[in-house]
Amino acid sequence: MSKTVLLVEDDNALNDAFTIMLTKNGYQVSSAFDGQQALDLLKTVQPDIILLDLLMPVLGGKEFLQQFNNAGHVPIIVFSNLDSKSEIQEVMDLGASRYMLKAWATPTELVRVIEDALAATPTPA
Amino acid sequence: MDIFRRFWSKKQSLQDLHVMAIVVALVLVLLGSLASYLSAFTTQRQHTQEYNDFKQQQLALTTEHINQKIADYEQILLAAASVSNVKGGQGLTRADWQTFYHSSQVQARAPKALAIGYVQHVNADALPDYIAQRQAEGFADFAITPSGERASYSPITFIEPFDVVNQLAFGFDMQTDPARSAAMAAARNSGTFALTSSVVLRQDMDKSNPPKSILLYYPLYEGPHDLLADRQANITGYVYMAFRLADIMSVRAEALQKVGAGYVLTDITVKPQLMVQSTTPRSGKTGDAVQKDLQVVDRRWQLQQFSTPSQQGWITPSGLFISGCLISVLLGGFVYLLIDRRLTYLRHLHDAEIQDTRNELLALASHQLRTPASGVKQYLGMLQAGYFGDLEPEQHSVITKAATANDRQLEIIDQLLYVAKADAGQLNLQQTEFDFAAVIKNATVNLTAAAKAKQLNIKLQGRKQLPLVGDERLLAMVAENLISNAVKYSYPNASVWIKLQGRVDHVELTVRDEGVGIAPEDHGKLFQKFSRIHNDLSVSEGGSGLGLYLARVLTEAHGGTLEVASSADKGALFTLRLPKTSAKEQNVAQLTD
Repeated sequence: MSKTVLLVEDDNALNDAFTIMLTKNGYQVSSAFDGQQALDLLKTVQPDIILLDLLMPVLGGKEFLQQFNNAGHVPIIVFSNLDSKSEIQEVMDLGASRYMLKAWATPTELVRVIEDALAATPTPA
Repeated sequence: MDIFRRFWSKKQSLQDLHVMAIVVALVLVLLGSLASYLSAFTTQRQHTQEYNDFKQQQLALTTEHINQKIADYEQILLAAASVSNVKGGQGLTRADWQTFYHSSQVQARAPKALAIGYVQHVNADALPDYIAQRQAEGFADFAITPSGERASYSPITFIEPFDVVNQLAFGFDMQTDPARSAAMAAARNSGTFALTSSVVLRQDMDKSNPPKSILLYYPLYEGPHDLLADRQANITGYVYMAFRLADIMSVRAEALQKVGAGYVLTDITVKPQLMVQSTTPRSGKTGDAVQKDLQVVDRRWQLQQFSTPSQQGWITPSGLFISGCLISVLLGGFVYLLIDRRLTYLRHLHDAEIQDTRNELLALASHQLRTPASGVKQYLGMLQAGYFGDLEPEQHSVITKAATANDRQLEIIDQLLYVAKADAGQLNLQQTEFDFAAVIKNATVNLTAAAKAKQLNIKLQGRKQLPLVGDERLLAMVAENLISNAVKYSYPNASVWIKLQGRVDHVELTVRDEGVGIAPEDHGKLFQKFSRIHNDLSVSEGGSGLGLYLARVLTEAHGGTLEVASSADKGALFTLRLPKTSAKEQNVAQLTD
């Protein structure tokens, strides 16, 4: 069964590009354009992994992490272009599993990170 | 005129601000001086006005004094005359005169008058009786002076106070003196008061410098005296008062001296005859005097008032002007400092604000550019990875070129962001210990493709491992920039030497190429923001002009140095030196040593 990815990214082009890329790699993609949309989607969708952008309007990545009750321990990969150590740490403390820089990531690298994260997570019984 | 344009356009240089401050201060000084001058001028005029008023006032006082005195004396003489007329004819006795003198309080009412007397008109044939009368009063040796036979005599018959001084005048025939005679004649003929010109009294005749005096006469008649002929025929005598001019003027003389003034009294009835003057020395300025012509009884007097230079104290008009100018200059200087400081401060604030805005703009723009550039990278990446099918060689080639250009976009955007951060002082170094050799190796590997394209021989020498404390990412950027430049500015088939060495307290990275080089005169510009030096390869290779600027900023942020040695067409040697530990840690090390 294909895994579901919840993609939370505010930029149209990037959201589209990632969606295409993930779909091409066999993933089911639910996409949201801000944190609030993501929270709403999570009421009905149970993704296997969440790709979360940090800088978004309405509700940003950090605020999303603060409000999201990750009872199911869904791996969350935060990607952004912020590269301050303290912010990375903050985000990790809020429940992110991994962090990656958006700008320079190639599709291949991104897919690899996702697969690594999914592999590290025990599948729910 | 540029300065005016700049003034309105708010694009003033700091020097312009200084000039503006000076101009304002000068204007203030000018206005202040003008105000001082005006106030000095007004004060001067006011002083002059007040002074003139004062002089006139004093003159009036003196005039009034004279008139009052004369009026008083006239009153007394009228009283004396009425006493005589009551007695009738020449029936007035010495006792009468004394009674009159005391009961009328002449002494009290006319303290400055020397004498009040009665002159009897004695015809030659009545002389013996007259003498006998005097002798009967007790004056055994009485004689009319000067002696001699005359048609008629006008001796002083009674005189009070009858003291030693006045006794000198007793028996003096006033007719023998032309001035007195003239006055008596005038009084007789007019039927009223007459004044002599200034004379010397009998009482003063023995003095070496006798004071001037005047006598005031009032005629006495027996019988009708309305017509001139009657008056001449029926004159029986005179009552008179004598006073020394200095005495009656003494009060005014004192008062005038107190205000630094003096007076001159001249009889100008016939021709000018100086009567009396105050002893205050005359001031040099003749234009200072004021004068007034008075009608005193039947004579014309001229009163002149002059003054000594007045003491005005320091509030002179010139003093006012000078002190006003001084204050203006002080004020101007103070205002200049105030304005200048304020303007410079505001300018610095403004410049800082502009700089901040510029930095924010730069950061914002870069962020906004980065996102779509990232988007492009993703799409191109997917194409390259074959997500949309295998690519024809041509397609692959084109997409690769696009990807390269896109990478360059992202690189420049990164540089801009770092530059903005560095300018805003927001460069946060994330200090970790890492292997610098590995970083350099990595950078070299990343540039392999570009090097290969030019068939360059990259020689990596020196340490294979070199631990360093610093921000790995930022130092990687520096290394990459240096190596990338070496590759960019090398001619094909050349070599590039990259050598990493470790010294006692610092590491040294040298990057040498045999390419276009940099002329010594361009060395200064090399590390400046947005500066690109034109050479054979600069146009084709392209660049943001930020690479070396950033490299140096990042190096210096780590406490290191970045130097260049080069000449045109002789290649370039860049030397990067970094302390082995961060500055903070270095300090700690020093403390614990």
